[in-house]
Amino acid sequence: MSALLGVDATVAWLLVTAAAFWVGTWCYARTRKNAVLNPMVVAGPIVIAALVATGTDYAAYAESVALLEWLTGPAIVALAVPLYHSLEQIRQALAPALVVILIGAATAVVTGAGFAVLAGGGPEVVAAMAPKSVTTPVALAIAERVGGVEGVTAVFVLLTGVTGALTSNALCRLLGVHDHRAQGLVLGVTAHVLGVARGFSISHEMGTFAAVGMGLSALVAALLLPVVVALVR
Amino acid sequence: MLGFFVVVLALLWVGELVAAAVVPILPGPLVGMVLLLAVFVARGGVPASFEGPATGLVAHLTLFILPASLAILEEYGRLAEAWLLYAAVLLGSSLVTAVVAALVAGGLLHARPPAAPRRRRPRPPTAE
Repeated sequence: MSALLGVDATVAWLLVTAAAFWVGTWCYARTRKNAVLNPMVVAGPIVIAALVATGTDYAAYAESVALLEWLTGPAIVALAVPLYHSLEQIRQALAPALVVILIGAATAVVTGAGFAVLAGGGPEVVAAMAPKSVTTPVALAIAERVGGVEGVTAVFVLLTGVTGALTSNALCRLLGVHDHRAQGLVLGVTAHVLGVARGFSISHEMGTFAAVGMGLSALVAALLLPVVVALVR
Repeated sequence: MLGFFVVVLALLWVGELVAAAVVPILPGPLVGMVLLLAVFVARGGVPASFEGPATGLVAHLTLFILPASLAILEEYGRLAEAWLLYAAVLLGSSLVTAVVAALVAGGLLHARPPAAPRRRRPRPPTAE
């Protein structure tokens, strides 16, 4: 394991990342959960600054903090707990939720691929952009199947997630949609895991429905995407 | 807490196996989540010792995805060339999708009052 300033790189970068996130959380709490200061928005640049200052490239950083990324797996499994507690509530809203998810996921796929075509993007761009609204592992698997470049798709997924997580709530309020379940579904459909994280930071109910939105929209997109991309070609 | 981690790790493993065998396009953790949910339903509840660790993990999701979100640094070069195209498609698609989803969700879920679990005291009106 390489060393950074005499300290094991893993320790150093985990500390930097966690500390940056801590600062971000503090700012978030201080500004009373203003969406623009989502912890990630503050923590990201801090980590980037540290990377630039130490001349560390992203690949080395990613390797050092692989533990954090791996923890998303157990965290996703752990979503079963809040989901279970809201099962009755989900059951009651299941039919409308499915409609929202179907329409939302379909819209995401069609606009992703469609706008890419309209903007003059080539087939690789279309293939890379089409799966951008679903959770990363699914998006990458789909991109692989339809011929998109995986690294680029991963970034689009992230940018879509960040955009969705930061703007969905405000957009919902603007449209007069205040129900936390509705906002949660929108978050899950537009911003997958980031949406779920954002949802839980606002309310248990919103986070739960975001999780439902994320899971089911991943399924819908997995089934729909190869068809759409083939049609668009 | 140990029991929780053993179960979660076991279901991550099983989730990967099931996903690979049956629905390769779905991520193992999602399958594992569904399986754990099925276990809770079959069991009729969540073990008390699971609550703390589960809440802890879920609450820190944003932290766990932070490194991945910085992956943009890696691809910056390739993206810089057509950034206007990408930005336009991204924003346009996200906005349209969010608006459509919000309108459908708002229309469908506004009509139904949220379920009030019997054992708890009535929920105060949700503020946003």
